[in-house]
Amino acid sequence: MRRLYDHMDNTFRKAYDQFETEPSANVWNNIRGHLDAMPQKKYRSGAITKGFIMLMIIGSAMVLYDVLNQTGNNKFLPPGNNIKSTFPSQPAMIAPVEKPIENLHHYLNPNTKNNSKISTDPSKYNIRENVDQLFNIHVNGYEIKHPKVFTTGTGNEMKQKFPLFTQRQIPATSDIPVSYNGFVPYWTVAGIVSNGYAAYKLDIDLPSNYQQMKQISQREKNELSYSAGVYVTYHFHKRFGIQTGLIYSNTQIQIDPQKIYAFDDPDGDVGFQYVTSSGYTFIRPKFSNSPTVGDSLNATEAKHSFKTVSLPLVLKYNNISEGKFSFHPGAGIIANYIISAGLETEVTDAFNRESVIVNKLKGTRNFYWSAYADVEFQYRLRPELSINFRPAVNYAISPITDNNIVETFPYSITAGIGLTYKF
Amino acid sequence: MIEGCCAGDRSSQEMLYATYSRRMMGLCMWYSKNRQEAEEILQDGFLRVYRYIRNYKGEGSLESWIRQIMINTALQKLAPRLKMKPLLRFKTELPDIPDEYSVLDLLSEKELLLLVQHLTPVYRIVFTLHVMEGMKHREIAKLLNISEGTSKSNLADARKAIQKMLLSQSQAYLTKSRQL
Repeated sequence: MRRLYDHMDNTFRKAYDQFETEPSANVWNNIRGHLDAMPQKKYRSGAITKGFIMLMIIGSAMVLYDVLNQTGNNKFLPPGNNIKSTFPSQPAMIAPVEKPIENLHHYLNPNTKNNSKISTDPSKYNIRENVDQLFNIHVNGYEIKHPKVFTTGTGNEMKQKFPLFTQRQIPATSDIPVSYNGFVPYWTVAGIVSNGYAAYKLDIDLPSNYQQMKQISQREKNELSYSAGVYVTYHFHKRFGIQTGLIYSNTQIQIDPQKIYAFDDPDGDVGFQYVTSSGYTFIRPKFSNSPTVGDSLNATEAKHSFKTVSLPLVLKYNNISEGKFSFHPGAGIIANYIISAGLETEVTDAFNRESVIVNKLKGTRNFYWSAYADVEFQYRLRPELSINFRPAVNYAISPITDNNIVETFPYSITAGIGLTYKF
Repeated sequence: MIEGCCAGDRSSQEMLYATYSRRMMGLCMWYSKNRQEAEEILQDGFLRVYRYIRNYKGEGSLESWIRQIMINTALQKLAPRLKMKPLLRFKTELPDIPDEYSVLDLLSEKELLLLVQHLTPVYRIVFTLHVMEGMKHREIAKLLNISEGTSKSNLADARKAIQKMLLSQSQAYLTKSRQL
C-alpha cells in the first residue's frame, strides 16, 4: 500500500507541476472590467478620518498654545525669587503682585470688587464660608489648596482660629516670594449621554463580492445611535490625565425589503440566507422548513441593532483655566465588546407571513478596536462639579465581521452632555 | 512590469496576466471541480495580485508569490464547502491495484486532474495541499481550521477514493484487453 501511495503521489506531483492550460478570453475581459470599475484603493481619507485628524490638530494646537503661554508666569514674581513652596508642609504664601488677581473674588466677600489688589494684611480679607470643603485659591494661574477653612472675621480672629495664620505672620513686606507650583493628583468621574451619527465603511477581500457590497450599502440606512457611559479620569499631572470608563452604545440600522434565496449553510442544511453589514443568518420559517437551493422568499423591512460595551483608554490634556470654562482634548483607543448583533424582520411568500427575530448573527466578531478622539468643554458650576459638552469621533481600526461577504468598520460622530465630579 | 502594475498601468497588468495565466489556470484547475470554477478563482486571484503587488518585496520568485495568492484565493472561495461533512467514509480496505494493470502510468495529466476534480472539496484540497504542495498536516490543519487528525483522515480517504476510481479504471482496462 505504501508503495502504491508513493507511486501515486509522485505521479500526481509531476502532473501538478507540468499541467498548464489556457483560460478563456472572458477571464481577462472580466478582470479588466473590474479594474476599470473599482475606484483606486486609497487609504481611508473620508470625512471621518479628516475630522479625526482635524480634532488631533486642534487639540495639539490648544496644548501647544497653553504650554507656551505658561512660560511667562514667573514674571509676576518679584525678581530673584524662586517658586519654592511644597504644600502641604509649607502653607502657600500669597505673592504680592502688581496685577489684579482675577479669580480671588470668588472666594472673597461678594462685596469685594473683582479687581481688588491682593493685600498681605489679613484684616482686609472677609472670605466666604466654605465649610468642610477644600478651599481653592487661584493666584496667577496656580491653584492652591488649603486644608483649612476660612471664614469671615478679622485678621486677628483668623490668626487665633486657624494655625495657618498663626503659624506665621502674614508677611507685611512685598518682596516675599512665592507662588505655588506644586500639584496634587486628583480624580474626576463623569456621567455622559451621547447621541450622534453612526455609519460604517465596507471593504471586500474578493473582488467578486463587489456587487454584493454595493447592495448591502444601498439597502442599509443608519439611524441615530446613542450611548451612555461613565468616564473616570486620573489627573496625574496638572496638564495630563489618563481616562478610562465603561460605555454602552446602541446603533440601529434600517434595512430595505429584499428577496432572500436558499443556500447550503455551513452545517449542511439549506436555509434562506440573510446578509447584513454586521453578519449573516440562515432563516428557516415554519411554513418553508425544507427549502431547496435556489428557492426564494420576500423579507420585509428589517431592523438591525448593534450593541456594544466599550472600555476606553484615553490620554486627556487639561487646560488650566482661571475662568469657569475649560477644555480638555483627548485621544486614545477603545476596546469594544459586541454584546448583540441582532435582526428583526418578517418573511413572506404568496400565502404565509412569519416574524423572524435573530439575536446573534453569524460572521460577527466578539471584539474590535477603535481609535477615539474628543474635546471636552467644561463649565464649572462649583469647584468640584462641572457640566460638560463633549463632541467625539470614534473609528474602528479592526473589522467587526469575520468570514462575512464584507469587512465592516463602523464609525461614529457624537455629541455628549453630562456632569463631571472632581474629588 | 511590476512597477507598472503598482502604478496601475493597464498594459503592464496585461503583460503580467499573459506571462502567468496559463500556469496559474493549470494550478487553479487542481483546486476546483470544473473549468468554470477554476476561471473564477483565476480572475479573483489576479485581481488580488494587482491589489497587493505593492507588498511583493522580491523575496522569492514572483511566480511563487502569485501562486500563493492563487492558492489562498481558492481556499477562501471554497471555505464554506470545506465545512461540509464528506458524503463518503471509507471504512473498508480496498484491494491494491495490481502493478501490471496499474493505469496510473497510462493516464495523462488531464486524466489525473479529472480524478482529483471528482473528489469532494475537502478531500481535493487536503490531497492537493499535502501531495502536490508538500504541506505538513499541521500546516494544513491551521490553514483550514481543522484538527491535524481530521487532515490525516481526509488524506487517507482521498487516497482511497482515488484508488477506487483507479481500480474501476484498471478493471475496465483489463476487461478491454481480455476482449482484444
